[in-house]
Amino acid sequence: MKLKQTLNHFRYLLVIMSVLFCTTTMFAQKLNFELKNTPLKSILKTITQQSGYDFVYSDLLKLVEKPFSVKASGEDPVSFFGHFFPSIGITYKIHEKQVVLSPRKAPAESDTTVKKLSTTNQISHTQNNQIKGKITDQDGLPLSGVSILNLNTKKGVYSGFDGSYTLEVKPSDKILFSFIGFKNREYVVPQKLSSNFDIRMEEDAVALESVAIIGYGNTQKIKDVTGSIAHMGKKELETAPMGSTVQTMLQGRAAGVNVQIQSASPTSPVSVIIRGQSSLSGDNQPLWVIDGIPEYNAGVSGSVSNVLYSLNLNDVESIDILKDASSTAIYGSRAANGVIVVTTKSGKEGMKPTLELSSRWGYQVMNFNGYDYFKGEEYLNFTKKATRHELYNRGTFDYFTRLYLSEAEFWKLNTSEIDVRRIVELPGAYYDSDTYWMGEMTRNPLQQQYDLTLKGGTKEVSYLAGLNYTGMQGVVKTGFSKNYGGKIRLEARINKDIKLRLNANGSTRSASDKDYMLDVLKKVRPDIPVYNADGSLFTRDAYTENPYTTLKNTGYGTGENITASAELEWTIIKGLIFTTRGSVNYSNTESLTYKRRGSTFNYDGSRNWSRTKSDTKIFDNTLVYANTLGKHDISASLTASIERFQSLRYGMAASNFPDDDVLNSFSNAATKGTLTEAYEMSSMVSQIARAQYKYNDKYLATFTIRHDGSSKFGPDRRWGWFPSGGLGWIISNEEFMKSGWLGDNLTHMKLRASYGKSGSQNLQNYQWMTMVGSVNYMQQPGIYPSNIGNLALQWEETIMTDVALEMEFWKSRIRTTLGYYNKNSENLIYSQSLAPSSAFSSMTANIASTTASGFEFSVDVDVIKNSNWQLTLNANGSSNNSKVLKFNNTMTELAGLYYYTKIVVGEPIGQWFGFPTYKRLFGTSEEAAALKTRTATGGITMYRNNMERSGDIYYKDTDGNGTINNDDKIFLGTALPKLFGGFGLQLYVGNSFNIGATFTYAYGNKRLWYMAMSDVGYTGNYNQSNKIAGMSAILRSPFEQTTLPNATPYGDGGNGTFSDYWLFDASYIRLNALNMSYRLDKNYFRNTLIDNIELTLQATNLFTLTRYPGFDPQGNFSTSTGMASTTVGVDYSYYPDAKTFNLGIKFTFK
Amino acid sequence: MKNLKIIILSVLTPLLLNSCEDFLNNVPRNQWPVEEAMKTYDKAKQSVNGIYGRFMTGDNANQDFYVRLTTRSGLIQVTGLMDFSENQSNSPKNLWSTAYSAINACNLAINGIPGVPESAFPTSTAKNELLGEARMLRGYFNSLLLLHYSCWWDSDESKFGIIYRDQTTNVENANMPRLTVGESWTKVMEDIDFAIENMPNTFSTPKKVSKLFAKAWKAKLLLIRGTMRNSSKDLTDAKALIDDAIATLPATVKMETDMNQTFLKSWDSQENIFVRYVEDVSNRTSLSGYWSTYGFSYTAYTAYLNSAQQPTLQSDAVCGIRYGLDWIRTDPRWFVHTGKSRAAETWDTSERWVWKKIYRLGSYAGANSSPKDEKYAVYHMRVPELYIMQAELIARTGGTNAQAIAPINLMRSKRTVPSIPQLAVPATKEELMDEIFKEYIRELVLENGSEFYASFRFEKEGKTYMEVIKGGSFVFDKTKLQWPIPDTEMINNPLIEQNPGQK
Repeated sequence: MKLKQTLNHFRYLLVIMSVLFCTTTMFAQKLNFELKNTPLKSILKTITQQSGYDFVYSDLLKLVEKPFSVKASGEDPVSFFGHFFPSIGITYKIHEKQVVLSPRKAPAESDTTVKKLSTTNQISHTQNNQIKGKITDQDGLPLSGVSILNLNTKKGVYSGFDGSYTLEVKPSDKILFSFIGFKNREYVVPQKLSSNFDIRMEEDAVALESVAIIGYGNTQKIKDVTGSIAHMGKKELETAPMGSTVQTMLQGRAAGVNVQIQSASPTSPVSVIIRGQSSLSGDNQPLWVIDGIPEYNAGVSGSVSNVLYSLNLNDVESIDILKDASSTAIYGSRAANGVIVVTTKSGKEGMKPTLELSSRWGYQVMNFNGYDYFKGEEYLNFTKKATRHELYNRGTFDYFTRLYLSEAEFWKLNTSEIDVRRIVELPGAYYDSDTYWMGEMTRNPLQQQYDLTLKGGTKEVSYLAGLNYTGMQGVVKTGFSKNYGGKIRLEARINKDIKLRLNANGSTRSASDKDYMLDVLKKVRPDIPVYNADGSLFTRDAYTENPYTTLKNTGYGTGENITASAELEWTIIKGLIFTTRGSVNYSNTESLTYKRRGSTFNYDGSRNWSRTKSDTKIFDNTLVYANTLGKHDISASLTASIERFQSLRYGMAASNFPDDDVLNSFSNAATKGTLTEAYEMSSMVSQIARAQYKYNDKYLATFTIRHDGSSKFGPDRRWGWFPSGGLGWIISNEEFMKSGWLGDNLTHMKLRASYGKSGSQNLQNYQWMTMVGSVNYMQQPGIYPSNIGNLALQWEETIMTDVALEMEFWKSRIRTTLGYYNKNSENLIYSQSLAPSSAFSSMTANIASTTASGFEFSVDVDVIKNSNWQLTLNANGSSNNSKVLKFNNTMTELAGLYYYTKIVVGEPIGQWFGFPTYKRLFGTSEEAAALKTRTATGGITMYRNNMERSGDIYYKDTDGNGTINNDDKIFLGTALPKLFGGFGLQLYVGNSFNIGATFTYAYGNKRLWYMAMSDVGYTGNYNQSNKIAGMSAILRSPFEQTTLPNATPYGDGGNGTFSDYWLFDASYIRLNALNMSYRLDKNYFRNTLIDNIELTLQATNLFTLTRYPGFDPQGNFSTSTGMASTTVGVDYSYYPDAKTFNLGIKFTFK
Repeated sequence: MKNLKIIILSVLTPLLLNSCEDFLNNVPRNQWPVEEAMKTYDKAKQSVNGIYGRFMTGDNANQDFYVRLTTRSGLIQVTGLMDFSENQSNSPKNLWSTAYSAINACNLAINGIPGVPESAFPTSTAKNELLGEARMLRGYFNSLLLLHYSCWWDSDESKFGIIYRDQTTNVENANMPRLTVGESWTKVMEDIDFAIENMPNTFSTPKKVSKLFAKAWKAKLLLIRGTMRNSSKDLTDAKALIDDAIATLPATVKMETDMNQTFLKSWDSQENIFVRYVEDVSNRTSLSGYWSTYGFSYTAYTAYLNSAQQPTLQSDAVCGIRYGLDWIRTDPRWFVHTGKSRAAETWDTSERWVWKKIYRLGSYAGANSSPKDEKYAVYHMRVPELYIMQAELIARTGGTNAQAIAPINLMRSKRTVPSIPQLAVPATKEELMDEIFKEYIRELVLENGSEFYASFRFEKEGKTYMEVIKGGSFVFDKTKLQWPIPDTEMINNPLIEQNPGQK
C-alpha cells in the first residue's frame, strides 16, 4: 500500500515541470486582493503581477482551471503561499522567484482529511502529545510546504513559511517528512517528547531531476536531453579524495571516459580521453569549459601551465561530460574529443551568510609494487656475474668489463680456455660505501589543504567568496606543489529584467619538479661514496649524477592564472532573454632550472629560464527564447562569439658560472646561451543556433548548428559548418506504458539517438602560410623559407552517431543506460612526410580517416533505500575500437623508429608491432647455437647474431627463413583495453554518516614494460633493481617461469629489442578511492556560531589486483607524447604510484 | 522596447555576418610571409647569406659527404659500403636533403632579388653581384646532386638527370620530376656562367663563394665530365678556366709557407678558396657535425698505445688507409694531416692517431681546452688544388711531362714547413699521371672528395685506380658511380623514377 502510494507520487514528479513563463511586470512586496470564484490560473496571475513570483506547473495540475475564493490583505507572499496552497491540495516549492506547483497525493489518503487538517495550519490541542520544530534544507534555508505525516494516525500537516510545524503524535509513532525534490525522511517519535524536533531535509540526488549544463549558459534536465551527457554533482564531487584534480576525479566515474594518471607525483600529467582517440596527432584531450569559458591552458601536462591543477575541487558544483555530437555540437569546432563543462559554486538568493572552513591533511605512502634497487651486496653479486657473462660471451674485454675486471690479470692466465671463475676483479673497481640512496632521497609525503568560503545572498544580490590553499610534497625530497587561490562570484538583480553576474578567480601555483630523481636513483650504484675527502659531493662520471646534486638542483615553476568575466542577462519580453558576456583569461607561467656542477654532463653549471604569458579574450552574445504552447515546449537560442588567444614565450639559457650557490645568476655566466622569443595569436569567430523541442513530455528533439571560422586555416578553408541533431522518446510517458506491470515497475524509459558533425583544429598556428625565417652565417643575419605552408589544410571532421536506452525501475531504484556510438573522423591532421627534394621533411596535412565505435553502459542500484539507510551500487564500462579507414596522399602506414605500434589501413589503432617470441629463454647455449643455418655456399646464417646464449630470449622465426629480421615482425596484441570503467558503492546512514568506494578497472590490454626492456638491454655501470636484473637469467635459472633474460652491460643477446616478451597483461581492478564522512549535527553546537562539523577520512589506491609487474598497470605514459596513438601503452616507469590517506574536517558557521 | 531591440540587433549583426576575415587574418609577428619578405637591399643581402646558413652548419654537405666519397674511392675506409652496392634503402640522403634545402633558400634570393627596386642597391652592379652569388650556390648544389644521384656520365637524352627547382617550394610544386641529363648540365652551367659573368672580381672571403671559386669549380666539373665523356672541349675549356684562375689569383689568396698553419688557422687561412665556417655560438662544437668532431676517433684511427701498452709511431699509424701506405706515409705532409688526439667520448681518455687536420682535438678535448679549440673547417677548395688540376689538365690536353709536372713542383716549392722535395720529370706519361693522382691524395686527402673523382679518372695498368685500390674481385662500373635516389624521396615523390638498376 505504502509502496504504491509513493510510486504514484513519483509518477507525478516525473511529469511535472513543463515550463511556463508568466509575465512579470513589477515587484510588489505585499499581496492585496480579494477574488471570488476565480480560476486558480487567474489568481496566480494576480499574484505574479503583485509579487513578481512566477509559477511553474504541469498540465496535469488540473486544479488551475478550478475556481477558488481567496483574499489577501498586505500579506507577505511566502506567508500567503504557506497557507493558501496547502488549503487547496497543492504542494509547492520556491526556487528564487519561481514557485513550482504540483498536485498532492500524500500525506493523507484523501484530500478532505488534508484540507481539514491543514486549512487551519494549526493542530487542535486535543492531546498534550505534540512535537514542534523547524524544517530546513541542507543549506539551512527554511522549507515551507513540507508534508509531515503521522503514519500511525494518517494525519498530517504542512510546514509554514518559516519552516515551522506542529504535529500531534504519540510516542513510537512513525513520522514521514516528504517534499518534492528532497529525500523522504522517517522518524520514530521518542518516548520522551522533546519540544524541538528540527529536521534538515536533503535534496534528492537521484539523477532523474539533475540538471545538465549544455553550453552557453543553458541548462537542461537530464531527462530531456537527447545526447549523451554524464553528469557529476555534489555527491561525486564530495567523495573526490584529497590531491584529486578536476581531471583525476573523473577516473572510473563515467562510462567512456578514460582517465590515465601518470603517477603520484604532485606534478603528474593526467590524460582524459573520451570515447577513444579520434585524432592521430595531439593529445586527444577534450575541451574544458569552466563557467562558460573555454580553457585553452588545459591539457595533459602536470606543469604549472595547466590551469586544471589550480582549479579547486571544493569550488566545483558540477561537472558535465558531453560525449556525443548532439551535446557537443554547440562547441562545434573544438568538440571532436568531447567537452567537459565545469560549473563552480555560487551564492544563492535569500541565503543566510554561511562561512565554511575546511581543512584536510593527507599522508602518502609510496607504492613501487615491490620494486627496489640493489643494495650493496646485491649489486656486487649481480655485477660480478653480469660482467663475467659478457666477457665470456664476447671473448674479449670491452669498455665496461674493463671497468670491473682485471685485463692484465686475464692476459697473465695465457690460455684460450676461459674459466670465468678465474677472472679477477680490477682493484678499485668497487668503492667502499654502501648507501641506500632510495631511502635517503625519498619520503612518504604530506599534503594539506585549506578552504575558506563565504556565501549568501539577499533578494537582490547573491555572492560567494573563497580562498584556498593546497600544499603537496612529492615522493622525492624537495619536490612540492603549492597552490593559492581565491575567487569571487557576484550576482545582482538590477531590476526585474536585468541581472548582472561578475566572476573572478585567480590562483598562483608553484612547484618544484624533482621527478627525474627516480632516473638518477636508478643509475647510481650503492657503492659510490656520497662525499669526496674535501667534503664536496662525489661525482663518479658524467653519466651518473650524485643524488645529492639532484636534490640541490633547481627545477622550479610558478604560474599565475586569472579569469574574470562579466555577464549581463536581460529579459526582454516574456521568454526572451538576451545575455552578453565578456571574459578574459590571463596566464603567466615561469620555469627556472639550474643544474649544478656534477649534474649529468654538466661541468660548470647551466641555467635555463622561460616565461610564457598568454591570454584568451572571449565575447559572447546569446539570445534565448523559450515558451510553452499547450503541449509544445520550445526553446531556441542564437549565439555569436568571437575569441582571440595570444601567447608570448621568451627564455634564455647560460652556462659556465663561477659557482653554483651565489654567482649563478644569468649576468654571472661566462657562456651566454640561446635566447628565444615566440609570439602566437589565433582567433575564432562562431555563430551558433540551437533549437529544442518537446512535445507532450514524450517526444524530444534538439538541433544545433555551429559555424566556425578559425585563423589556423587558409582564407579559403577557414569556415566550417558543424550541424547535429538528436531525437528522444520518453516511452514511459506513453499512456500504454502507464498501466499494468510496466506502469508499476518501470519508472522511466527513454530512447535517444543523435547524429552530427564536430570538428577539430588540432594544429599549430600559421601552418597554412609559407614563411621566411632567419638563419645566421658569419655572425650576420640571413633569411630563408622556413616552412612549407599548406593552403589546403582544412578542419578535421568527426561524424558521430549515438544511440542509447535509459531505463529506470522500481521508483528509480535501478537506473541503467546502455549506449552505442560510432565516430567517423575524416581529414585527420597529422604530419605528412614529404620528399626531401621539396626542402622539407614534412608538413601539416589532412592525411587520414578513422572510424571508432563502442558500447557504454552504466547501472546504479539503490539496494537499500529508507529514511535511515541508503546503499547505492553503481558500475559503468565501455569498450572502444578504432581503426584507420584510409590514408590520403602518399602515406601507407604510421610507424616510426621509436614507435612500438604500427597503424595500417584496416587494422585497429593501438596494436603492438614487433618480434614475437616463444615466451621463454634458451635453456642452454647449445640450443641457441643449433639455430644457425648454412647458406647454399656454406656460409653461416646467424639466427640473430652470434651473441645468443643460455638465458636469452628465444625469438620466433615467423617467416621460417632461418634468421630473425624485420620481416619477422607481426602484430602482437592491443595496447588499448577491451573494456574499462569503474564501479563503486555509496552507503548513507541517517543524515550524518556515509561511506563510499570507487573502483576502476581495465581489461584486455597489454602494456610494454619499457623499463625492464631497456634495463636488460643495457646495464652499463648503473645500479639495477630486484625486479629486473634481480630476476634476470644472470642470477636465476632460465627455466623458471618468472625469469627475465640475461641483463649485461652492453645487452648482448639482443634481449632489449622490443618483442612480445616485454608485453604484459595490464588488466586490473583498483580501489581508487575510499571515502568516509561523518557530520556532527547542529544540535551539538547549540548557541554557538558553529552550524555543523563534518569529518572525512579518505584513502586512495588502497589495493590493486593485477598481474602486471611494473609500478602501476596504468599511467607512466610518455610526458612528451602524452597519449598519442603511437606511444599509448608504453610504461616508462617515471614515477611510482602511491597510496594516499587523508583526514578532513569542515566547519560551517552561520 | 523597440529601441532596445535595435540595440540588440546592432550588437549581434556584426557578429553574425561573415565579415570577420580581418579578425581571422592572424599573421605571425616574427616571420615574413614569403611573398612579402623581399623588399629591400638588406633583405636581398640576407637572402643570400641565409643560403650559407642552410648548409654550412653540420656535416651533411660537408665532412659527412666527403668521408663517404673517400670511402667510395676505397682509399680509406671511414664509413660503411665501399663496394658500390648501395640500394635505395641505404643510400645516403644527407647531401640530397641538405642540397635541396639550400636550393630552396637560393630560389628565395634568385626570385626575390629582381623584385627589389634598382634604386635600393648602392651600386649599379650590386644587384647582379648578389644574384650571381645566389646562382653560383644553386649551380654548386645542383652540380653535387648531378654528380652523386643522377646518371651524369650518360648521354644528354638520358632521362636520369636531377630534379631541378627554380621556385621556392609550396604545396603545388612539392613534388617534381627529373630533367634529362643534358638539361641538367645546361641548368648547372647557366648558373655558374652567370656567376662568373656577374660576381665581383675582388675576393673578400673564402667563407663564401667567389668568382675565383666559380671558375675553379666549373673547371673541376668540366675535368670530371670531360674525362668521363672523352670530350676534349670540356678539357680545353677547363684548362682555360684554371689558367685564368691561377693568373688572376688575388694577392690575398696564396699558400701558407707553413702547412701546419693552414689547418691551425683553419677557415682563417689565406690558402682557402672556399671553406666551411661555423658560427661562434656556445654550441659551436655540436654545430660542427659528427665527422669533424667525433667520428674519426672511432673509425679511421690508430690507437696510440698498442695491446702491449706501447706507443705506436706516427709513421707506423694507418688511420684506416687501405692502399698506398708506402707513398702516403713517407710524404712529409703525413705528419701534418695526422696527429695525436684524445678520443671524443666523455669517458674515453685514450689517445689515438687521427686525421688531425679535420678532427683537431676532438669534441671533448676541444671544448674543454682553454681557449676552446672549435674551428672545425671543411676545406671545399684550397689553392694547391688549382695547381694539381692545372698539372692534370696540361697532361690531358697534350702538354709535355715537364710542362705538366711544373705546376705541382711550383706548388711544392711554396711550402717551407714541411719541406717537400721537387718531383723529377716523369719518364713516361703513365708515371706522370701516377704522380698527379698521388699528389691529389698526398695534398688533399679526406678534405673534399678529390680522391674519389681521381680514382675513376686515373688509370693504372689499364684499370681504373679505384679497381687497383680496392683490389680483389671489385670491377668498376660507371653506372654505379651515383648513389641511388634515397628511400624517402622515392616513397614520397610519386613523380620520380629511380636510376636504372638501383632499386
